[in-house]
Amino acid sequence: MAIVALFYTWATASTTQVSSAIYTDAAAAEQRILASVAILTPPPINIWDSNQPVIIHNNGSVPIVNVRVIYTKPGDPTPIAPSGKLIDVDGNVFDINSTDWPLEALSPGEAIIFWLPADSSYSGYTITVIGLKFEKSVTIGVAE
Amino acid sequence: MRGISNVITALFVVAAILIAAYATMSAYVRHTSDLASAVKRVVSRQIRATYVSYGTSECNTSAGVLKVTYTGIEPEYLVRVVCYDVADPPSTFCVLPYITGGTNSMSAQYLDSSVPFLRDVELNLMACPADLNAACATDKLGCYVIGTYKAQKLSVEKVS
Repeated sequence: MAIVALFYTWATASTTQVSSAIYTDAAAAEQRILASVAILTPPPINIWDSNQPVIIHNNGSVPIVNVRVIYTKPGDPTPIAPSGKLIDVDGNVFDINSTDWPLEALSPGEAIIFWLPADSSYSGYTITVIGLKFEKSVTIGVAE
Repeated sequence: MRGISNVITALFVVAAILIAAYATMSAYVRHTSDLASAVKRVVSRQIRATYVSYGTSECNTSAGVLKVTYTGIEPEYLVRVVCYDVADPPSTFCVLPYITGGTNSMSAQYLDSSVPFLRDVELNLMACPADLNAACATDKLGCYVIGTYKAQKLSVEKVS
């Protein structure tokens, strides 16, 4: 009887442990899926004589908290905090100065727009979005 | 007596195995269900993002109206259209207010989250201030559409 009881206890405990681990994995995966931004950049091979916009759009289902946006020019690793505008879901526009980062949050559906300085080609510019437990970076001209 | 004891022991072992198997299968089913729902959300979002050609927009200089037609499959919500003069982007930036929707029953309410932007519906948007009308006239109007699920550059064509 003691052996049976021991076996029963072991079986129950091990299945509970497996179940718990599976749930933790699923929750983490879901969180990764829910937090998402799209970064729209100008095409790399063009001769531009004017500034070109970059759009940061929260297309996920959760806010990105403490969000910062920086960009670097090719050949210069110094990060630049851009000035731009935040467009909320009601269509309101808020100015963002380079000293305003990090923003408290970028909510689902909200977007940030800023303009890269005029350049002959935007190839090599890297745009990075950093938030709490979130980071996404794209380099213009390099596939994600 | 010993025979009965062996039977009871065997029953306990079988019960333990069945319980363990049930718990494992139950956890597996719930795990699969969770992943399936998560994947469904992502796939659904991708379908929503299928605008196909949001760029069937026209910049009508005489009326100062930008027409935007939605050709996606799934409805989009909270649609905003932002425009700027590419020669002077930050200072001329603005969000276009809606004039009318594509049907009589849907007018100027696309910023309301309860009203979806549906396939083949056309938005008529007021042009931005005078400086953007000038940009429109010279084909230098840059516009982006921003929804809940998708942001995309508009291809603006002037109506001759």
